[in-house]
Amino acid sequence: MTKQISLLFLISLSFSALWSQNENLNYNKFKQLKQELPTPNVYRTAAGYPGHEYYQQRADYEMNIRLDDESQKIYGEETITYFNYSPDALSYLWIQLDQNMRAKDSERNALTTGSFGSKVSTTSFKKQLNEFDGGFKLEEVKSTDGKDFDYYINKTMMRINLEEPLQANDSIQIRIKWWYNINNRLEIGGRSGYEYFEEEDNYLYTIAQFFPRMAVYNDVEGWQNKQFLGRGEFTLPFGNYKVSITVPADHVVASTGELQNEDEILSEEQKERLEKAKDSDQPVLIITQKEAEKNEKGRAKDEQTWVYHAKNVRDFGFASSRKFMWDAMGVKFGDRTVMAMSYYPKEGNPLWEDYSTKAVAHTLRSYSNHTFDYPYPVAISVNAASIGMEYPMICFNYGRPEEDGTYTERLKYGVISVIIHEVGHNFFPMIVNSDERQWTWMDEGLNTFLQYLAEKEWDVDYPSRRGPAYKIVDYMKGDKSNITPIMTNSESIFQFGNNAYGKPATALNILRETIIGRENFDFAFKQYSQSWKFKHPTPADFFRSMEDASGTDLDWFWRGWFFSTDHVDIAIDEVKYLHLDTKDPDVENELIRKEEESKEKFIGDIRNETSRNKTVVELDPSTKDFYNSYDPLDVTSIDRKDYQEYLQDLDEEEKKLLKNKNHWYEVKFSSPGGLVMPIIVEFRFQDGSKEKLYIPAEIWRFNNEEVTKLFSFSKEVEEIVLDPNLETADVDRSNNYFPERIVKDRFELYKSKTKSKENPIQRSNRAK
Amino acid sequence: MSTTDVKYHSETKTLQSTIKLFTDDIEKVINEENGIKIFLGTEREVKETDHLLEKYILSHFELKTKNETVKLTFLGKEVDQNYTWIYLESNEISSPKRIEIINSLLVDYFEEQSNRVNFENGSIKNSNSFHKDKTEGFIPQ
Repeated sequence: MTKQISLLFLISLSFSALWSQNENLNYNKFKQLKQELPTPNVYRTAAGYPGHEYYQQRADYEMNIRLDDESQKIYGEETITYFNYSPDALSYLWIQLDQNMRAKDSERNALTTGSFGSKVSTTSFKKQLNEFDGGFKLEEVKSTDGKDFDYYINKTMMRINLEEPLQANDSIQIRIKWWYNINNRLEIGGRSGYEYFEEEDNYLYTIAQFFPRMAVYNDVEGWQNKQFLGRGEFTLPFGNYKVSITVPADHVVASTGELQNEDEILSEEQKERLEKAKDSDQPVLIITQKEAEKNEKGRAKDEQTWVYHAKNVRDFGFASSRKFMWDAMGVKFGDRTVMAMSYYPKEGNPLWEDYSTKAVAHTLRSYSNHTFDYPYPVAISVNAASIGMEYPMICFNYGRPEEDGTYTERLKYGVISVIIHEVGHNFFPMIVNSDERQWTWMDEGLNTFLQYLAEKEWDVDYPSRRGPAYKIVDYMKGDKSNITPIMTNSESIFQFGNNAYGKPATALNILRETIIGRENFDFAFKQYSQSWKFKHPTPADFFRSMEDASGTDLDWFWRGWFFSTDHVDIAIDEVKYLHLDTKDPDVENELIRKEEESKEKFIGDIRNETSRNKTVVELDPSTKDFYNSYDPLDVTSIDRKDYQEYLQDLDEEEKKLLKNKNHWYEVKFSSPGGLVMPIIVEFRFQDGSKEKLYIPAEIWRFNNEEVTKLFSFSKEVEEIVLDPNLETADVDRSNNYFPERIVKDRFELYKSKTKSKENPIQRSNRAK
Repeated sequence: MSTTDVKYHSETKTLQSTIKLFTDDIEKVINEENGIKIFLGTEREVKETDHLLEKYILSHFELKTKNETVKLTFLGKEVDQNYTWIYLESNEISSPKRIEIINSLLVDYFEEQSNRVNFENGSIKNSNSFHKDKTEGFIPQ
């Protein structure tokens, strides 16, 4: 049966190959992306920047939120003011109801494929059963004059049907009242929710997607019409927020925006500490561990309202708990001070006190250097078990040491990495507001790329998980059935992490290190970031602006890395040595002599050289004549004179060539991986020196499969190595060497060194 | 994801397998399966770690040639900040042109888990991918 199938497969393959040949279409990997990218227009230019009629909508929010700690519920009232800056009249508005993903009738449950494995953890069991009564419970959807809006709920989205269309440059107000049950994050998952500390009966809330939010309407998608299925995150219009958050009086709130009623909420001492933190180069504790440990034992019956304002943000999130410690430190941007802050329960220490706020501050500085100065007044990292999730100015990050206060090196770097990553999301997509519901890579990929740079700026030896070209090799090589191109919608991606984080981050790193160069790349990347700051870019805008600003046609690169699942594998197929005849008898004759001497010798001749009787010519010199002493390779004065005359006829250029470059190599390269890349080839010479040459990817423009090129040197080449510094993500290095090199694989190396069964730690302990 | 390189060595007449996994992932699974913390690759690594790894790996990774299960021996592991490598070697077998793989590593714990296996025997170089809905297959396919 299987034999038949593979036979059919072979037939269909060769058939389709013939068929595509007969089509006479352009399959060249350097074909421009005109058909893949939308046509530029007045909204978005061909250079990749906002066009002269670019517009975007705006949504302002005024909200009163109450967190009920007794029953773990959120109660909310909001007034949305929606500004229609588009040229279009809108007869309906769409509002996102992301909490409905957790409703019992959620589409996400219907669309979840797969079966229980042999083992079912209680977590996945609870998730699948979905006993939780989640989702928004809407109580009112009214206009400001108290009239009910006509609305329709399509799962995670709500359509408000307007009596009169909302005209261009007009605005409308919508009042919504709702409540919902907060999910237990650790039991049924979620980007927001609560964590319950059973021993002390306490809650830590990280609250987001907690209010009905205006969907984006723009020139690319119209209204965002993709349901929230849980994976493709969000994009939202920018706007100003005024939010009052009412919580138990002994709770500490961390939130998007700036606290407006400091005087009511904070003690004099806390305000002093906060003031001190502004100019401190080390985090200053506003609430100490001792204070937090005392606070978490209380159970206040009364409530307190924290008021926050946030300008020009695309979302809002907050955290609340009586368990929080709080530290802060100022980061200067000119005369502006941004507060880098962290909130964490005692369970986050000792790690969090030492690293969280410093990682926040470092991220703001590093990312700002590569893009634009961080524009918001605060950046907050909140400790929340087992996740990493970002909102404007605030993010929720994992990291809890062992109960005995120790932690592993892996956890330490994991915590620093997750904080860099989530704080970094302020830049992409909170400020450069790309659409994650459509394209995860646009923020995750760009952010992971900058995360890698920030990690290396934290410590050059930082154990980064993603970024360097060679780290993506395992993902890209081999069977392609379980991978998709980067340019795949967020909900249809296989292997999310590698596809949307790792591969695009690597591709950008390769552009920066190898294709465009650091200086030119950094300029172009800044142009993109600054031009789309507080706007909504699309993939085409990114591709185009990077090309336009760097002056580099990168269509082949985007095509290969972003639109295909090809991998890089460049091989040395064949090397021919060519010797240029210098005509110099002293040089040439010597070479011939050497070559003769190096030829294999017949065994009889070797033996005759030492063990034989004297020959006739040796015994009787009279048998010798001219021919016995004549050596055709001896150089005579006439030979030299001929050579001088020959030289006089040559021009300077030819003379130089003859003198210096008399070793020629014809090298045939092929690209079995299909992803065209520059050929980076290093020639290593007999005298130990080396020369690395960069041949641009365009060498493949006529023939995408194989190319032959001549190289000339004054010295003889001993070895040729492709991509010696691991720049291209070449998946098979066994064909990168001439002469062929036997590369020991990991297994053999392991076997050869495991005579002792010690690991490095055991060995170093023994040495103590 | 995990990547496994399975290579037939004609000198030793064995299949040598190197399984590369994310350290965080495999540690989490071993911890949850056994209800203990193994502190993989750290100074505090518990003594039974190798044994627990062996038990887990050998019950989620299997090789067959010509319908017969190949006996695999757990040789050991290496751990760094990001990855853990597991080394397995088979008994002596005759040179296989095609192998069958059962690979359900980590799929019960991570929705997105993808397990790539590359097989090499002389000029035969091929691969196959496994995930929660596909835990068995051949290479070449």
